[in-house]
Amino acid sequence: MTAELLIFYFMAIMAVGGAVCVVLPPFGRNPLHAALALLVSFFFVAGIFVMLSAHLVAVLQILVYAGAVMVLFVFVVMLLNLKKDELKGARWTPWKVFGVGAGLVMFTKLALAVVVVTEGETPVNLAAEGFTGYGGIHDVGAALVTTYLLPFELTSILLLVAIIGAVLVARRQTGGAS
Amino acid sequence: MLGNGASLAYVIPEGILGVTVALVMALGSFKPTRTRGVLAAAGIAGMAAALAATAAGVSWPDGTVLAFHGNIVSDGMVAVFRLVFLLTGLLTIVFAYGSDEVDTRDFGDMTAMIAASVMGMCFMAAAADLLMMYLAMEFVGILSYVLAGLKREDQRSSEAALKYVIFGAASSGVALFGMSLLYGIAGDTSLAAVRAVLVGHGFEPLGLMALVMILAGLGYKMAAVPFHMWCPDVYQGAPTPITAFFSVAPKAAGFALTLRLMDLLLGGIDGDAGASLGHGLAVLIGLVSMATMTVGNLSALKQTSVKRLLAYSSIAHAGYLLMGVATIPAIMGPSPDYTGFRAVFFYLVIYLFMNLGAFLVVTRVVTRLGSDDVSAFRSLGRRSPLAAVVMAIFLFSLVGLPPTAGFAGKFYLFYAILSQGSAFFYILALVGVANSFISLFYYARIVRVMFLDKSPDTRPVPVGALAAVVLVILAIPTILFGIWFGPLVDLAGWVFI
Repeated sequence: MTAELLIFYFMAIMAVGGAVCVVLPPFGRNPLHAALALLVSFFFVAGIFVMLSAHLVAVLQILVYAGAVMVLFVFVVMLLNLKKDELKGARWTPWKVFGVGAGLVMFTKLALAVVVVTEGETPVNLAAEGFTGYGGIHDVGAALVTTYLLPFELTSILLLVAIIGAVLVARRQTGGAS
Repeated sequence: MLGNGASLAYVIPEGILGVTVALVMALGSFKPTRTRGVLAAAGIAGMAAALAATAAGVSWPDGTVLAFHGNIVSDGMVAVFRLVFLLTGLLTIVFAYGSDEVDTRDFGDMTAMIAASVMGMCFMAAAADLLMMYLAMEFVGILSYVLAGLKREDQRSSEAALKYVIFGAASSGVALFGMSLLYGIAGDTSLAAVRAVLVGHGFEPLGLMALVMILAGLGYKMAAVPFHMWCPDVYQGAPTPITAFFSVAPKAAGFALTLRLMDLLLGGIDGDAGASLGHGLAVLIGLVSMATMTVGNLSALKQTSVKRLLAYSSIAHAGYLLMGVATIPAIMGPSPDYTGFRAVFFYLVIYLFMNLGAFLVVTRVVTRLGSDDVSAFRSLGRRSPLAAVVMAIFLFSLVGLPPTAGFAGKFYLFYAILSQGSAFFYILALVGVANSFISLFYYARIVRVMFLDKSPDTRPVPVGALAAVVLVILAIPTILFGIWFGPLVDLAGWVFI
C-alpha cells in the first residue's frame, strides 16, 4: 500500500463520513451542524480532485462550494431560524425502512459492479503519457473554448434565463415595478 | 466531425430562438403592462421564423452530421422533433395570450422562458455527448420550474413549482450519477466513445445500472410510473396554457432524448455485444410502460378536475409511447429496424394536436367560468357548441377511436410492437388495448357532461375569435391524420433512416 493510496483512503473516508453526518444524528439534528459537516465533505472532495491532477477543479470546489454555496446554505438556515421543537427527530415509517433497504441494495450492487469493472486496470502515469498541463487553468480553458464551446455558451444562456426566472418568482404580484 | 465555426449552419433554428429570447426580454422591459400584444407577436414571430426555417430544410442535413466537436448530432430526427417543439411553443404563446391566468406583467418573461425552453429541447433531441445531454435536460427543467410557479398569488401554483423542483433535482441527480458511471467506464463523455468501450468490455453490470439510472431521470421528464408523482399536482397548479405546454413539449423532449440515447449506444450493434443488455432494457421499459398506462388510466377514472384528469391521461399516454421505446431489440443487429421508434414520433405528433386542443378548450373554460371542474363543462354543447364539438373530437382521438388520428397513432404503435413477435410484446399489446378501453370511460364522461347534463347557468360561453380559429386548426389534423396519414408517415420516416 503506497502513501498515495493511504492519503486517498483518508480523504475518501472523510468525504463520505462528512456527507453521512449531514443527514444522520447527532450532527443532522441541527441544520448549522449539518452545514458544517457538508463543508468537511466539500474540502476532502477537493483533496481528491487534487490527487486526480484536477487542480483547477479543486480550487473551484473550495471557492464555489466551500465558499459561495456554503454561505448560501448558512444564510438560508439563519433566515428560516427554526425553533428547537420544530427540529424533532424524524420518525421511522415503513416507507423509510423500505427506502433505506433499497438504498443499501443499490449501494451493494454498484460497489460490486465497480469492483468487476475496475479489476485488472492499472493507474495511468499522466506525465509519461504526455499530459503535462493536465487539469491546469490553461488546459481546462482551452477545452472550454474549443471542444466544449457549445455546452459552455449554453450554460451562460441558462444562467441568464435562470436569474430572470428567479427575479420573476421573487417579484411581488401587486404594487409598482419595483 | 465539424468544428465550432462550421457547425453554426446546423443550429440556425436554435439561433433564431436565442435572438427571440433576447428580443422578447428587451421588449418586455418597456412598460410591460401595455405590451402584451407586442410581446406575443414577437414571440410568435420568432417561433414561426424558426419553424419556417426548419420546414424549408435549414439545418436539416441529408445524412448525419456530428457538429460542435461531436457535442451534438444533426440529422433528420433533430429536424422533425424541432418541428414538434416549435409548434407546441408557438401554440402555447397563442393560448397564453388569450388567457387571464398569466399576468400581463409576467407575459414577456413567460414568452422568453418558453422560447428558451424550446431551444433546450432542440438540444435534448440533438445531444450526442453526456455533458450536452445533462445540460439540455437541466435547461428545460429549470425553466419549467419557473413556468410552473407563474401564478404567485395562488398557493397551488407555488406548491406545484416547489414539488417540481424537488422531484426534478432528485431525478436529475440520479441521472447524473448514472452518467458519471458511464464516464468512469469510458473516460470520455461522448456517447460514441462510451459505446465503443461498452462493446469492447461488455455491457454488464455497471453499464446496465448506469443506463437504468439515466432512464430514471428521463422517466421523470416523460412522467412515467413510478416517477409520475409530481405530474398531477404540477399540471393542476400551473397556469392552464403552461400545463398544455408541459403535457406535450418536455414529454416529447424526454422521448427524443431516450430514442437518441438508445440509438447511439445500441443501434445496429452486432449480435452478442449488447444482446442481453438490449433485451433486459426492453423488458424493463415494457414493464414500466404497462405500469404507467395502468396507473394513469385507473387514477384518471375518479378525477373531478379536468386539468388533473388530463394530467393522468398524459401519464397514460406516456405509457402507450413507452411501448414503442420498448422495441429496442429490433434496432440491434446487422439490419436495424426503427419502426417502433418511428411510431413513437408518429404518435407524439398526433398527441400534440389532440392534447393541445383539449387543453385549449380547458383554457377557455377556465378563463370564462373560473373553474376547471367537470361540472363547469355541463351544457357546454349548448353554451358553446364549437368548443364542445371539437373537445369531443379531441377526447375521442385521445381514446383512439377511428376515424380520428388517435386511432392511426395507436394502430402504428401496436403494429410496431406486434411485429416484434415475442410473447412479452403480445402481453404488452394486450395491456395496451385493455387500457384503451378503460380510458374510454373517463373521456366519454366529459363528453356526456358536455352534451347531456343540464347546467343551471345557460348563458353562452364565448370562446373568442382567435381561440376558435386555433381550435379548428387543431381539430383538422386530429381528424385528417386519421384518414390520410401518408405525409405523417413520411415525416416519421426521418426518425432514424
